[in-house]
Amino acid sequence: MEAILLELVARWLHFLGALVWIGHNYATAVTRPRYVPLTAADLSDPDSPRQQALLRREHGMFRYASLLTWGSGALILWHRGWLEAALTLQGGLAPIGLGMWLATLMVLNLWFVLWPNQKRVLGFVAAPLDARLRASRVTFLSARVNTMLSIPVLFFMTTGAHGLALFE
Amino acid sequence: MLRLFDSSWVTVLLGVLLTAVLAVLLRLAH
Repeated sequence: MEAILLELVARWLHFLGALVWIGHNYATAVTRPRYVPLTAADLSDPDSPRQQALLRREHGMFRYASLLTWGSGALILWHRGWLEAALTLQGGLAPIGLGMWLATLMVLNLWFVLWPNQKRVLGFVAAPLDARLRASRVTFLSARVNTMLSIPVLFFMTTGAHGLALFE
Repeated sequence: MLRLFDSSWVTVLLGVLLTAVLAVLLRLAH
């Protein structure tokens, strides 16, 4: 009973976290389909505490949602005793394992490529104007890479549950 | 090359192509 409940809650959190995180990427891809270079006027006013607080909340929300998503996914696999076989792409666990590797790249991309640059763009760390505008290009490309990777991840998440016969 | 990503349609197309390539590789590996 407890085991079923743990997995149910982990799976629920996995979906919720993924929607918050990747939903943010998809919303951006829909509302801003083409890259438009930023200008100085687009950057937030570093003297506006309200603007800074809103941006921190928005960016913190999907960044931590990525950890929740990754952690709950890993927990489900570990709880079933499948983690090692999935990560080494064994048999029927290969699709979800491949999904997990791609998702791991996405988390690393978010935390170690996008976020350090995003901090400069948003003015959370001081940087000269031209460095902030350059960083905005990196954050755009980094986010688009994650949007692209989310497509195979969703496919392999689905395959692990509903399409295994295709790979056996 | 990086300009490719400037359109979200291209992002989706690349995602679908990557999915197809990985799925075929996985199928061949089994």
